[in-house]
Amino acid sequence: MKEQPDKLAELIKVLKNTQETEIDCDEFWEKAAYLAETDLLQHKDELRLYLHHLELCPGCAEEFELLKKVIEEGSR
Amino acid sequence: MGLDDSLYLAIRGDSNAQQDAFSKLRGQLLRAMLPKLKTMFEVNDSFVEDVVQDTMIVVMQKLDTFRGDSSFFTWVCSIAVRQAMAEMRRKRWKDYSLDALSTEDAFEPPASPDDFTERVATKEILDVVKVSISTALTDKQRTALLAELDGLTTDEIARRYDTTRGAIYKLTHDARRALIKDLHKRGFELEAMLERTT
Repeated sequence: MKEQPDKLAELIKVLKNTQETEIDCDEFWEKAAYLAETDLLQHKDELRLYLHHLELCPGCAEEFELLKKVIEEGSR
Repeated sequence: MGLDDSLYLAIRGDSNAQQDAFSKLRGQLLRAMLPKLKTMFEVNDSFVEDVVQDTMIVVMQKLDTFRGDSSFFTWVCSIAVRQAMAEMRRKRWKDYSLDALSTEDAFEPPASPDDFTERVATKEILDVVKVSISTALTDKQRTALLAELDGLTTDEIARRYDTTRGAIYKLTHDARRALIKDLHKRGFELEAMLERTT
């Protein structure tokens, strides 16, 4: 459980960051392997929906970070 | 890289080539996953071996969905990390019940700031958020949103509802939009609310 009352602030932050159009987790993972091999900052405009998803979805963000570390390890 | 990836072609090849390619892929995946999972999540070798084994099964099932926009190995890793995290999350949240969630208990009363006006403002925000969650959302939207606030991830909520994580994301996205609309209707602006709660 998270510390209270941070949950209220956290919820409001998430609401403030909510957009009309967002991609969901399944859509994100359809492209995740490509994204893991791509310099996201260089393509931030084109990939903004995917970057936004990572900001709003802690589960996908955690898995994506792990993916990048694993492929880095695999390329050694 | 892509659909001409030698490992991918071998897996699609005759049974001898396929067996060799699988053995190579399994070894490569284990070498990449083992050190990271062990150091980051303190899991044992057998956990990682099981994840790799399960990943091989999913890879075979999903082979036709590989589009070739990354290396085949990266695509396999993208399956493996989700397998690993799903298993760890399932264990971590095994005693957590969605049935026990209620809006009233979701938020503790805010810590009391010294300033009386500030204290009243935060309480007012908390009250209106609770009312919005209770009245503007469907039961399923409310449960998924409160579970996410507790730290459950979309895949873990999806597992409990026997649906996809994409469906859960859409559910909570709709919930967030409904809350924004309702709070706005009640005269509350998110920017000002954020300033008062952080």
